[in-house]
Amino acid sequence: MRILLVEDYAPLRQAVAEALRLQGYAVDVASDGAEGRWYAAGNTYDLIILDLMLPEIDGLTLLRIWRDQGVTTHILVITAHDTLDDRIAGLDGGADDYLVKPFAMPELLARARALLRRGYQIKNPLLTIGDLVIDTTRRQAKRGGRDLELTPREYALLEYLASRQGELVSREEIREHVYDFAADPSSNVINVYVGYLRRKLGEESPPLLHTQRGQGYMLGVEAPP
Amino acid sequence: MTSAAPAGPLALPMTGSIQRRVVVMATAGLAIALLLSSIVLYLAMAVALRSEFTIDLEARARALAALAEFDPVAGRVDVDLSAVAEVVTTDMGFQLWSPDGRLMAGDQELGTWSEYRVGSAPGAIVTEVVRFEDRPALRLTRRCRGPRHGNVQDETLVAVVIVGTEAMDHHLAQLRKLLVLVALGTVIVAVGFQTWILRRSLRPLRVLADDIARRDRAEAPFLFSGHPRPVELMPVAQRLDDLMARIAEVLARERRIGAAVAHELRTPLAGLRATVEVALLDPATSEAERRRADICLGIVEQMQRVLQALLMLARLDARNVVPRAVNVDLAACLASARDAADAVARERRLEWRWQVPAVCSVTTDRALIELVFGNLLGNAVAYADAGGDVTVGMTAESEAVRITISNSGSRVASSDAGRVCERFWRGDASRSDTAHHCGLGLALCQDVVQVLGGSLEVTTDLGERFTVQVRLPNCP
Repeated sequence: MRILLVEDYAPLRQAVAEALRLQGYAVDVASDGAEGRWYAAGNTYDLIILDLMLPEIDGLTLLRIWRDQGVTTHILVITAHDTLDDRIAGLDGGADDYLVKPFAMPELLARARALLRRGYQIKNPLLTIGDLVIDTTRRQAKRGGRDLELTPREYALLEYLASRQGELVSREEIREHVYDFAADPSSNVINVYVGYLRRKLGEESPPLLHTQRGQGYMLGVEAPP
Repeated sequence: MTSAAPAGPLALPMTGSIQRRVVVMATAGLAIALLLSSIVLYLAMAVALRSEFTIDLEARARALAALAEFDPVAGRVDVDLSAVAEVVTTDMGFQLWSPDGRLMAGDQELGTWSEYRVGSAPGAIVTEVVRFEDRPALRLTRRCRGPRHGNVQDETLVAVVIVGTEAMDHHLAQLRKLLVLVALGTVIVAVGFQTWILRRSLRPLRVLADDIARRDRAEAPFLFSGHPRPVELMPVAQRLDDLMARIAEVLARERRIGAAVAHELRTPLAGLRATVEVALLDPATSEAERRRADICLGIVEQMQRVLQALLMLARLDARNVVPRAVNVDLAACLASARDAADAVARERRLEWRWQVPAVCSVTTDRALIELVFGNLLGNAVAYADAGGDVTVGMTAESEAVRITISNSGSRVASSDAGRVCERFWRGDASRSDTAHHCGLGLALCQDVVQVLGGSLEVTTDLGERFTVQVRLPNCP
């Protein structure tokens, strides 16, 4: 999943970005509202974490701009303003969730996970495909009861494919949602990681990771038609 | 020893009602004016009546004296008694005395010459108030010229006329009554009219007071001078607008400062916390580094609590906290606070003594009351002696609910009971319990309870019980 973090305070921006990357997310960071707007205009994100007190363009204005433009990405607002009126203004302005600073990192990560699931209409933090079970809260996967030893990138790829289970996902979409701006992998790198993932999923029947030449990949019990 | 209950709403010095003062003073002035004018009028009327009466008596006396003639046979002045009968009336007493002191006509019983005061010159009148036939009367004594006879020099006569004054006195009494009635009636009508006119005249003040109350609640800007008001009140309205504008500016400045403080302190704190937590999340962090990061996280959390308390106190000081009244089950709120404090209570082997009804609802601000209960129960479990107890009670009174939170093993002497609600006051100067408590909790609870319209009192004795009693109105 790809996340845009817009936060002007450098230590917080770096710490949150690092925490998200440790969880396997692709994270782009912006240090002011104008930069955040530029990133969102050129890329597709699964979640935006937005500070409200930003230079250039403040967070509430940016929120309104995105919503007026029809941006449907879930937005988690983080801010030092804690009054009820501030929370109402943020939520009414288009935010999907609101977290007051200073916050506990586990809480931020949990809220991010919840919004990411919501983005793919997934209610259950446990994703099940055949005998494959993905625990999105603990970021672990098992197949047939066997723990899968996945790197963060492999897990991120698996989680993204699982969130779109039964759909063909193109390399372009994988690049957009699993890698951040800095990474920008070639399609070969994506192929390699899909290969790693297929190996780690094992050869149990039925196969779960399918390739459709020229179109993309699909995670599901049944192969694409 | 108990701490003094915090001062409630200000006791405003009242100097009496303007309306009452104006009515009383105007009525007193009117009454004095009426009294003086009535007295003057009465005296004038009395003088006029008496004067007319006296003139009448004098005319009668002159008529009587005119009857006297010189009798050449007797060689003296005398009176034809049959002619006297034509002049006198039945309501009068009279005497006509000759120059030599002889009673020529009249009733001897009325008195003798020597009893009268008589003026020396002819025409001299003396009037005296006397009793005549057991009635009040006026006696007029007049020295009159006697009849001419030949070359004999005129001799003077003395005519005495007495007439009862009941009729005149009766008229004067009627006049007095009339004047008193008119004065009283005028005063009563004046009081009623003044009260009515003042009530109408002071109505713009009441309207202004209502506008002020409405402005307190209104979201939109409100200009007192923008509404029609009497000329005399317009300067007041304009000053009010200026004052409200200055207050709004101060509040806006405070909010900006509060917002700036919130941002300036909270954001670095958030950065610090996030950095420490990332270290704890990173699997590459060593055990020693994790322990240090854990300590840092504890310190950050404490700073966060102090900051939160300070911000809340600043808002309360600036009267920026407006309770949102909803129906709240206090028993449920207390139970939630107990659950939050239960881990510490179990760790310290504390016994909960729960004397709270199943349900007890009041109209109050849920978030604020949860803050108060959380603080008080948190304090109770933190400061009770290990193995002791925390007793929580609630009783409903007619217009309020009383909540009592008490822990055993108080560390505060009774002499300090009045200080426990001071900001940053700590019973232990060595700050040995800095980890969780910074001396703001009770101060915050007291201020919040006051905003909710209630009161908070502390009773304590070293080694005995530390008790906090909160009284909340049923409706704010």
